Amino acid sequence: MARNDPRESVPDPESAAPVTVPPGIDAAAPEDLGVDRAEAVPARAPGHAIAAGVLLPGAGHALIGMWQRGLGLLFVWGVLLAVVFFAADRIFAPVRPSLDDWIALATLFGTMLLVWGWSLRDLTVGRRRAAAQGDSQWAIAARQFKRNRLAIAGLAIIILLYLVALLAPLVAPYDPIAQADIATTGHLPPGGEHLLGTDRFGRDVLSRIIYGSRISLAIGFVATAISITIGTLFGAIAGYYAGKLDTIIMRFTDMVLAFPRLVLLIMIVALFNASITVIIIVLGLTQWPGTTRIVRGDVLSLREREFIHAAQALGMSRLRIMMRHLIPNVLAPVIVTATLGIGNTIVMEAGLSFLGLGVSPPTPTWGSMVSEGRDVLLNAWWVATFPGLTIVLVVLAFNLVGDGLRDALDPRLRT
Amino acid sequence: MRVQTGRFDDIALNPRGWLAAVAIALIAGCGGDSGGGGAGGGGDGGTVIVGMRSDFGSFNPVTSSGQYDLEVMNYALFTPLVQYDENLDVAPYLAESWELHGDTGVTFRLRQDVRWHDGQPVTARDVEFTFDLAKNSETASLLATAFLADVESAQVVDDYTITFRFARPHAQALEDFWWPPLPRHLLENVAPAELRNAPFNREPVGSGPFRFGQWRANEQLMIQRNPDFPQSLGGPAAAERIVFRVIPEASTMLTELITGNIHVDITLLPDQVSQVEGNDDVQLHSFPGRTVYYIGWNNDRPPFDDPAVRRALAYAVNRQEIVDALLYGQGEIATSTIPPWHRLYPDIEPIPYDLQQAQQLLEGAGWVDRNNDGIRENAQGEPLAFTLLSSDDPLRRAVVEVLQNQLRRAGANIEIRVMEFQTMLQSHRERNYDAVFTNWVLDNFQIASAPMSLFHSREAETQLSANRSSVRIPALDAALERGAAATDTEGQQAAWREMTQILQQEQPITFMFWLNELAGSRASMSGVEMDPRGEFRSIARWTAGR
Amino acid sequence: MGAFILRRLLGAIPLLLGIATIIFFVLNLAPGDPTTFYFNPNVPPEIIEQLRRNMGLDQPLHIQYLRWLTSFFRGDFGYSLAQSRPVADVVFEALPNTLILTGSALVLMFITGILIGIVQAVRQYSIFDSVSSVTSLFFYSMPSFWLALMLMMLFSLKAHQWGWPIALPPTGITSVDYEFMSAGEKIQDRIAHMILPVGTLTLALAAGVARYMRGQMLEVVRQDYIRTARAKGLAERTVIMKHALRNSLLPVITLLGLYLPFLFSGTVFVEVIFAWPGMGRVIYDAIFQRDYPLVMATSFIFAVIVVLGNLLADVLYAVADPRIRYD
Repeated sequence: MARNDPRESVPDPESAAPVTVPPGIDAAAPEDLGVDRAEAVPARAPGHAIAAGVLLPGAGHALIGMWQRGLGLLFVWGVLLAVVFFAADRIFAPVRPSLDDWIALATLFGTMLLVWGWSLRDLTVGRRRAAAQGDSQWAIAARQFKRNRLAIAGLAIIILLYLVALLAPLVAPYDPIAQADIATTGHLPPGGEHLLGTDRFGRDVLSRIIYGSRISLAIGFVATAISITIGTLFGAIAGYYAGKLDTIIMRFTDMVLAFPRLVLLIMIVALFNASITVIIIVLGLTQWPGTTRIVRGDVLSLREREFIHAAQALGMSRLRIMMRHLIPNVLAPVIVTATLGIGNTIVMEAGLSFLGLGVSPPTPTWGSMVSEGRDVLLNAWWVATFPGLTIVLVVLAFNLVGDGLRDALDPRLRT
Repeated sequence: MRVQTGRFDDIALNPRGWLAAVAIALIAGCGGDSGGGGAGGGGDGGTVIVGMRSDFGSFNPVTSSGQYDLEVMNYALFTPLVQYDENLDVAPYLAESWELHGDTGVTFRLRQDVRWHDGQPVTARDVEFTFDLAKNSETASLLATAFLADVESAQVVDDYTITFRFARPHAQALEDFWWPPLPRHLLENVAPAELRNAPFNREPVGSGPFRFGQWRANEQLMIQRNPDFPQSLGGPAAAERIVFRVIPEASTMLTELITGNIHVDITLLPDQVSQVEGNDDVQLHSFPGRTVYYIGWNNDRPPFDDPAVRRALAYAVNRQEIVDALLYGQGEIATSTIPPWHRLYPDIEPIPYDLQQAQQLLEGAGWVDRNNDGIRENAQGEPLAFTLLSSDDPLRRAVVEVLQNQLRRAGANIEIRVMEFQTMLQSHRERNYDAVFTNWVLDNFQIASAPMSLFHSREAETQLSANRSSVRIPALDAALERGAAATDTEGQQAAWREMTQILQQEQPITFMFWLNELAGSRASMSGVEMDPRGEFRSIARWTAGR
Repeated sequence: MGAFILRRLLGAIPLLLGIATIIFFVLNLAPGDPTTFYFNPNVPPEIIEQLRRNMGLDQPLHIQYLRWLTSFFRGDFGYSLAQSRPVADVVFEALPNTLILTGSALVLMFITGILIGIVQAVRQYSIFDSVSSVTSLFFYSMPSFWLALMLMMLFSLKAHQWGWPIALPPTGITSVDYEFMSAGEKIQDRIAHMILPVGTLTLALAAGVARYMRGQMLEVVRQDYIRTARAKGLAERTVIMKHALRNSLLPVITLLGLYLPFLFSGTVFVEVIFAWPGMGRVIYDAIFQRDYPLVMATSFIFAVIVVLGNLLADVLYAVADPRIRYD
């Protein structure tokens, strides 16, 4: 009987349907897919296309008629160039004291290099190999995933978001913390110099959302990393060692699961005086039971399989079997859980901030922005509305990707 | 007519039509909601609905300590011995007259027409009983410390006469008696240690213009008009019923006020003022309050052990900007614990905002920016950096964010630490902090009470006392003691002037502002008057109106 | 079956005891104690000390724990420190409100979720399928406090200001003049007050049910017996309604147990925003007031309900599906 956290993946019978393709996919669009096209076009693009691609990523693709890919690349390249252009004074500033700026610069040029290199590779080698790409589990999953447009859209949002978070010092139009004369700059409506308006201290809402993405994403990422690590280990141990250990771990899991998580969070964060590290750890430490249950279930069935018996017969240690053979084989559902978990964690952080238990000011986080803005919803709606929408958008993106991954990764799909 | 009724019945039976019927009823319901009291019948004042952010605690003058608990007891449910008039002078209430025995005591003569809501008369024995309970340390009564610290004993002369003896001569002595008696016949069997948990506290039998009705925790408290309340004290209340509804979320509360589902919102935020001002159906009440906000410096810790640094930081704080931009002008800069509207307020200019002065002072104290990072360092190279605590209240969060910015301009690096209120209070009490932004609410209008607990050096030696900044200034002690003991106005004025001057000079804590109390009421209401004496001061005359 | 239930109930005892113990120690190790709730800073330290003695907080921790545990087993939850009345009274006042709220949300959530899921599965890849998927996922991604605020702004405030025929009451369980209403009006009044809070919880969680239902349905539709049913010429409607639906509904029951903790987390926000006097707010206030006995009792009750919900789901599932045996 399937039993786990509903936000985290219920081993979803949906994916058991042989030809299930998630909604929102245009099943009749094979010509858009590089994989299929690879068989139709010559292995290597003509020289002029490659030359064009070297100069301007995407141009080469456009020249040989791969419009979709070409325009996409051109767009991405354009955005990156725009960032360079508009942030030129910051990029080429003589003094560069902070680590933030270095990270941003490295990200920017790294991304540019990546786009450029990928476009070139795609024009030359990549297309030859695409046809030869095997039927490895991950390759099939990737193909499956690519068909899901909603999931791809979600992925695009997430990538964009991580880029924005890393590039924050370059893309944010204003300092997210500094205040000017608060009486005259407070609560300016959207438009004009401030695209999304200003908060009560005259700080640019857009810039704060951009900087806030760092905290929200970091919290989501780290907390989920903690939770799936614990969850996977516990699940694998419980499933493989069975017996007493299994009982103890699963009782403990049940206990954590039966406890209303928000209440525990409020209790710990409120009573023990939250710092951001504490919040992350607590979020991570309360989210693992779902993963544990899934992993244990999978491990229970795996351990009866021949290859495990073979490994045992070869005299491999239990630890080694667990690490080398069991855990890699349960990674697929874990990845799905993790993706959905990040979204879930972002919502939780926002909830805690809403209750006044979040990160201390002036550090911007989406949750605290909503919380600070909700009292002025009626006279300055933009202060809370935009960060609120950002939360929804981002969590939606993670959920879409999670759903897509689940459909793509579930082996039952490929029967 | 018949047809219509018949049709309505049909609708009610048919599941789909039933929903429609709900909708119809809803429309009707919304129209007549604000006049809901009409259905209550009886009084012409109708039902007044008051919105509260949090629930009441309990109603027992001896053990309750919540601000609104006390106000409801003083103005609605019970009858205090004395009340304040509009000039904040003491006026007779339950006590119809009194006679001061010099500085040593006072004799009150009580009214004979005030009765408990169960019909028993209110007598001097009730007053004595209440006094003894408060003085009994097992009840852990706030009354004993806030009001009765200088009153030694009570003695009943006859059923309606009682004499109190003072422990020492002190200022504003009559104001020691702004509290109501408890009914002795209902509580004499309760052990003092159990008084806090007595069922009485949640269904009190009082003596005021309203009697207790019904209380559903976290939902609503209803009090009803007391038809037997003596005319000499204003007679029975105008409203038939007052319902206090608990609505924790501020924006929900404002929605309820604007849509007319509640009549009074007593906890309006400064941010919401513009909403209320622009609305013809709602009236804004803004009146000076009893809450003063201040930055507490930990005088035990460097750099705050140096008065020059404290002064410099005070110069660097632009309080007018905070009052204008964050309070929307709903406040006044504070200089001490004496509110500007009090007759004993010494009119002393607060330290002005002067960044240059701040910088000079800091440089004079050895804090210079030695490595050009914008933050000052002392001779040892330690930066001028400290942590500022605040609770998670939205206004306080906002103020500390501005403070951080303002002090940064003077070269101080502040880390803000927002904590849950109780956790913050714990750190503050244990003096385990650098600086804290917090407030102080005056329990009464006795000027000596607040500074005595906040600043007197003997309190600094007591663990967990209210002198959480470890203030030890002998000259301040002397001024306080003189002010507390002075029984003549000139003496009091001189003492409080001196205290304020020392506070301005030394800045043991930096006073920020008095926050106006903000409330909104429906324009249809009448009799709503609010002033420093409290939101519920005129509650007996409130009417819902149409 | 009886043995199974008994075993599960017995197994739940150490579980719940563990939860209670964890709460107790988390609470008592935290800085701050109930006496600071009397935060009027004028209260001098000796009075606070007196209060602590009166409340038994001056005892060592393990003594407090044992005392709490023994009275707990006797069914005595103690006194609420902040409300100065028995914890049981507080709980009995608040619990029904929360059960009404979560119960209605649960029912509505399952009904809408199942309906959407069925239509999605039957019309796989249709416009309805994708639109409803994204829409429900949109609400699912929304923090419930945010959804609650938006619904309130729209259906209470703006509805009033824009003169819509219906403006929903955003707070409380009933109107103030509830006692003076006729029976019919009472029902209507209650429903009107429930729409916003129940709607918030339903919208936020129905997507999960819908997704699960859709998946179940799609799986069942591809089973051999459905193919057989179709092959023998049954109308598609009959196939779906009589054969597919019944079998795909079964596993959805298990979601019941899974959703309870989420529902309870959601109620904290919903009860705060819509001023619903339920357990969520009791527990929330109790934590901030350091009302230890109340926090322990309420979170314990939450845990009990979750455990019982899970058990109920298992039993229902077993009753409904003869293939499942528990012994």
